[in-house]
Amino acid sequence: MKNIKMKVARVEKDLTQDDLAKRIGVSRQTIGLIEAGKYNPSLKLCLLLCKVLDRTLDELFWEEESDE
Amino acid sequence: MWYQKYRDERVEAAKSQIFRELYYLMMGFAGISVIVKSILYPDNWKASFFELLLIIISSVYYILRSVQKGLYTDEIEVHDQQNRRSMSRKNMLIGLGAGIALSLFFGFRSAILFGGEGTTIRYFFLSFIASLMFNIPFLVGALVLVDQLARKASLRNSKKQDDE
Repeated sequence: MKNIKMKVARVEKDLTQDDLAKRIGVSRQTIGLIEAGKYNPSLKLCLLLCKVLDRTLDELFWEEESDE
Repeated sequence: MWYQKYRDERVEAAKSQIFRELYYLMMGFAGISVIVKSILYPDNWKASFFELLLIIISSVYYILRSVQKGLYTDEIEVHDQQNRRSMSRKNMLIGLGAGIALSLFFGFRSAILFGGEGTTIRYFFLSFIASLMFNIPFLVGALVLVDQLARKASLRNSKKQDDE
């Protein structure tokens, strides 16, 4: 399932996938795969994403049933 | 900055996957090389010395490291939760299967190398049964013994990590 919330949060911060990847220290492809729902990040990486994007874990990763 | 030392876990996981595949590939090639050399040079076991060394050292290293990290018991715990057949029983069956496979190999090898007219089948069975009598108790016993020792040590290390 695509992670639209993360994509929206990133765009609101005016960051490209590349910018976000550089801030965290991962590859751009990793960010792309997380947003595409093709890679499940560890809690450690989730927390890093939350800190950089100024969002909580719920706001970025909690899946509401209506999201499906 | 605080997050700059983070290593891309996806890349690390993909690299580990490649190393794992590489390990299987190397073990496969080493195994095939031992079989081919034992047929081409039946009297010279030293011809396969490095392949055997590679197989033995890498296996021992894997067991030691997984015991040290307590992964050995974790793996068994997860396996036994998810499978009807326990790991102990599976280990015994692997020992049995390996013993039969090794005996078959020695049987065919003797029949091909030393068998002549009318003696091929006799040589096969002689070698096969003799190997079977030695290999099965040895392999099953060794696997069970190593398994029990590794479990104890791994559990100890696992508990030590819990206490830290």
